[in-house]
Amino acid sequence: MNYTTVYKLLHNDLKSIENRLESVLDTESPLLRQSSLHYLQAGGKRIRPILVILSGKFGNYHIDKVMDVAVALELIHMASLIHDDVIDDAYTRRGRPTVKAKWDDQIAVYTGDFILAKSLDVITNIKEDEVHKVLSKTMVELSIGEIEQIQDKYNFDQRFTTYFRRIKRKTALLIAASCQLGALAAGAEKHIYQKLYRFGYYIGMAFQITDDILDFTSTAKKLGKPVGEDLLQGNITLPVLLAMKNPAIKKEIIKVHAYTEPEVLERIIQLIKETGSINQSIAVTRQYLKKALRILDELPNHEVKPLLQTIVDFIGNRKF
Amino acid sequence: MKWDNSLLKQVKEKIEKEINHPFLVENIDSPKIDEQKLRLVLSILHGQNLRKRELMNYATAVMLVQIALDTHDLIHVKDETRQKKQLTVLAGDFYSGLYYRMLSFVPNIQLIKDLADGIKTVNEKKLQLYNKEVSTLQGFMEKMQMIETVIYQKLASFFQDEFWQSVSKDYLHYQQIKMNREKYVDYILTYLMGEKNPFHVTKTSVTIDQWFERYEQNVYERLKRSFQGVPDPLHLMSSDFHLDEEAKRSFI
Repeated sequence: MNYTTVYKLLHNDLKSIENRLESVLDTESPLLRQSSLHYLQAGGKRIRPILVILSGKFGNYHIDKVMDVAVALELIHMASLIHDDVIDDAYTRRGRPTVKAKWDDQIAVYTGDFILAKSLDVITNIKEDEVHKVLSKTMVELSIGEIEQIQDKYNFDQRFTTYFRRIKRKTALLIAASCQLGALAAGAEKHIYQKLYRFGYYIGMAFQITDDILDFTSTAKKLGKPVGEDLLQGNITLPVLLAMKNPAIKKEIIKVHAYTEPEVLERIIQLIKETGSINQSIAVTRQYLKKALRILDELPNHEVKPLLQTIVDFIGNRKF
Repeated sequence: MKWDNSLLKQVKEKIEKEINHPFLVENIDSPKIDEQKLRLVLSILHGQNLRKRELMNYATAVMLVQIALDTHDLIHVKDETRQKKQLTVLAGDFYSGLYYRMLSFVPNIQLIKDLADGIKTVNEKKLQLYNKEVSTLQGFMEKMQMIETVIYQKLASFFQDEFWQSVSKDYLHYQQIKMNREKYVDYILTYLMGEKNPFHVTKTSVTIDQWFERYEQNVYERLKRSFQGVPDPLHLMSSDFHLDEEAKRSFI
């Protein structure tokens, strides 16, 4: 089984979520409608809604019970992408112009805020206090993670723990929340949704490290942005931190700045690759995925477990 | 709870504590807490039979919403450094997350929803104005009014307080016109003189000044009517806000 098969198996529910996402973003402003649907229509992996559905199956599942969680989380994700593109001054995402590129920064910011407000409007259809405590803490942590990413830019002396804390905040917690809240909304027992939270956390960490690896190993076409862009922007990721254990390589890496020439950057990327830090990063990813699989073993037997296993495999092997 | 003048200070301190992030403090301007709006919020909440802790949390949450909205208006400010711009986007998101977290732990899910609806409306109207999706002077002012007042109307309507709902709508709007009239006229004239005339106003029909005069008078009259027969109208009155003396006298 692969990710596409999972997607197909959940097709009807995902389609309902997709329709709801589109209808939720309805507005009287034609431009706002276009800008807020811009990323939705570009597609995407929809990993958060998929995790919400699969986790919900451990409770008394019905799509109507988890719909609001799935829609709200995907909206939060989309809004954060729109704002991230303003922050990174990014002109393309998945090969298409970003909202800020197609319109401008201010429109992108208003659009992101509009979508975020819609996500809260949707999630508050759920009257379970716990859902909001989890999600609101996640949203605050997400912002802090992003702020710290700016704070740590071009900080070549940062520690590994700083990196792991940052990716936990900016990526893993929202994926963990997808699992936890899907199960919670479907009425799963506490010990189950707590396990699913940990499952989500581990795959979320692996997901971000994989992203950071792909920044070096993928192609501009697949990434929809230039190779090595993270490093150029000063985001010090795991492959870079591991490569900098070699003092001679570190001496080269710390020369990188926002205006580093492409050929110089290319040479540094090559040096990073030669240290073996990519393979070491892959090994860290595998450790996280192994932990996720262990949690999966602890969960009660259920027909969706192989599907969750497929998600784990997908994260470990993804190329985009 | 009894009105206590130190409340304003206490809420301000609580907001400052909430939004305190060392890196933001160091690198972007501290957000301004609009005292006039805070007074309005406290006045709305004062009549709702709340415990002090609840009142403080609600007031802080509403002001965090306002601060988040105001922060994101600063994106298009030119000549800012790249880092300042990045942090401005993130700070707005952070403040907005704090409002959600604060009300989640009260907990008050319905108020989160009502304020989220207000935030949605504010951003919708801001974008429409930014994109010049406006066709009449009346429409322009209605959008301005929504942007300025909808959050406070939502707070009052959550408590089903019709008096404060209508006061919120007109009070802040009246201040808004007093303070920004010149700017609005400039904005409108820019369009009237440009090729695109979204307002469908000819220069001979009615002057913009006359139009504003009438509009402002209407808001003022509405506000006056709202205050009629209210024995203890406003804690707002003690503040140094921008009503002229005549208006103040007529409200007391």
